[in-house]
Amino acid sequence: MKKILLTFIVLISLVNTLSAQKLYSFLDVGEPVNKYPAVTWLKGSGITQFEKDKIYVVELWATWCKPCIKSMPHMSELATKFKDKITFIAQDVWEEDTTKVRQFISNNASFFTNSMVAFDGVQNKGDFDRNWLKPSGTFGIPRTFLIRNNTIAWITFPFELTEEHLQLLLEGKLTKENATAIVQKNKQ
Amino acid sequence: MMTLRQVLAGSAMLTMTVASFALHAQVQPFTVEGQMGKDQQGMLSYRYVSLNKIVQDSVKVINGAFRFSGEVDEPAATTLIFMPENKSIKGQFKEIFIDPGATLTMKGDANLLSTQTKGGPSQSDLDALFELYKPLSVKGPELEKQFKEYQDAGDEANMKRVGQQLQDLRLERRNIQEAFAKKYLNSFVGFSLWTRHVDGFIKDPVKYEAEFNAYSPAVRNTPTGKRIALNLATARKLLAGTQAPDFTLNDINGKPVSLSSFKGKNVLLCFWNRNFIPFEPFSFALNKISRVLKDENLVILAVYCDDDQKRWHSEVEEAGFTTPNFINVINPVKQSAEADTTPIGKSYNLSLGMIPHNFVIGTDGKILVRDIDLGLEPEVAIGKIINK
Repeated sequence: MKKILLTFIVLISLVNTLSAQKLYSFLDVGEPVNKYPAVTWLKGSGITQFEKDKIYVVELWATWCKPCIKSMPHMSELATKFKDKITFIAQDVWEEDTTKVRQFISNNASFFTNSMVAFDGVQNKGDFDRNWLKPSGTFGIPRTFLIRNNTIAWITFPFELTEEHLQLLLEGKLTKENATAIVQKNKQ
Repeated sequence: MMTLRQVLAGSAMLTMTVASFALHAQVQPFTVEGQMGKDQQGMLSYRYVSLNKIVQDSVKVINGAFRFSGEVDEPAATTLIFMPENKSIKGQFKEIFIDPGATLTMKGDANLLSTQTKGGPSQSDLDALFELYKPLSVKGPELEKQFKEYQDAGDEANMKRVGQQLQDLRLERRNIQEAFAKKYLNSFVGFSLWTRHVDGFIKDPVKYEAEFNAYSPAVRNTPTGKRIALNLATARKLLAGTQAPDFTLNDINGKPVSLSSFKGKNVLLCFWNRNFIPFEPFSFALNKISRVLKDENLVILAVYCDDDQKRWHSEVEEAGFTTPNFINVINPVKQSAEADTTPIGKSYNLSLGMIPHNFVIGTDGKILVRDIDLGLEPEVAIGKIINK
């Protein structure tokens, strides 16, 4: 009986995986986003969809990604500054070991004080990989997505993202052009 | 960050170097006979390419003597590695050049590096090339040793300085090779140095044709020579301004579709499959082109180059190549390093290393641009080209 039940459960989960919904074919600046892919939330209440009147920053990282970790103090500073206005999601991608990720979060709690943290799993397996990374043509991390009004407002890197950008985003004035201009200005 | 083109080229490069054509080449036997110092015992492994296949084997070295033979269809660059029986002695590496029909002798009184190789014009040419390398072969190891010392000491300033010197040395070596290739026009050694700088797909056939034609007929008529001549001829037919070769393939509903049926529209002709990485930037770029240029007079003719129809259907879906301006057709041939010999494969020079590959074709059916860089805002570039 046990065996039959187990087979049954395996079958059900298989069917579930196969019928997993394709959320997005293409994600870029200006594209609409509603649902958040199915991930495991390691810190914070988590979200399943983007709410229309809320603003989000989704930051991609992994424990093996040195530049991601290097930019964490900066991102955490921004998250603290905008904690009442913007939801920060630190989305872990492309790694297998949840324990390692949990350990990293507890060892570096200060990086995530005002961020939610989500875990997706290995490449080609996770829902976030299929429904976010692939449609957005992402093949390297870190990478940062800004979402406002159920639309991707800008895609950038954490070390290029500044308070000035987030202020414009809050005011609904951030465009790809002025965002890039700020990056250029800061480089000089 | 690397551009997409570089990444794709990297994955293509692996297969490109062995890209080959079925030619009716004749093979001829060869023999290599060697005598090192009598105290040398161990294994000698060798590696060369014949009839586009890598041949790899090894022979025993007993009291310094060894012998191996085989068949080659053209002069073959051959690498030898001698691993002494006594494991505390380091292995040695040597390069020789084997001509079809040649008997080569390698004589020396100590290890493999002490041997002098005689026999065949290609080997003499290789000796001449190594003579030119001589100053570098002393300087190179010295600099590498210095670099390692600075590295261990964490001396970054000196690492940078020596690193630059090593870089200069590599450039010097390249210059020697280029000069040699230009001077030795009746030499397969010179010719094979030249072929190293010829891409798998040739974008500028006019320039390369002139260089190719400078070589003697004997060199040009080797299998490698014939393959390059064929690539040059194909590249000429795919130059901007020429009519894109027509073809008819079945679309996703099994209905035949011809390239020529799109006359009056601009076409982004794109050959693809799932056998290259990273795939996502590629599919993202096509999706972006599809959306940004949706109101332009453009169709994306995506030719899937693989024989698995079922996989094709699911991959088209997964990649999102389903917007109205996408036309999906299939060239049902499993691509390999060998050239695709179907009519469309021949006319577009398709092979595993060639994919992905794209052409922007104008409303008159003439090629406007070959191989747009999909990593650098291709939607902007294509928009400009078709609205000229």
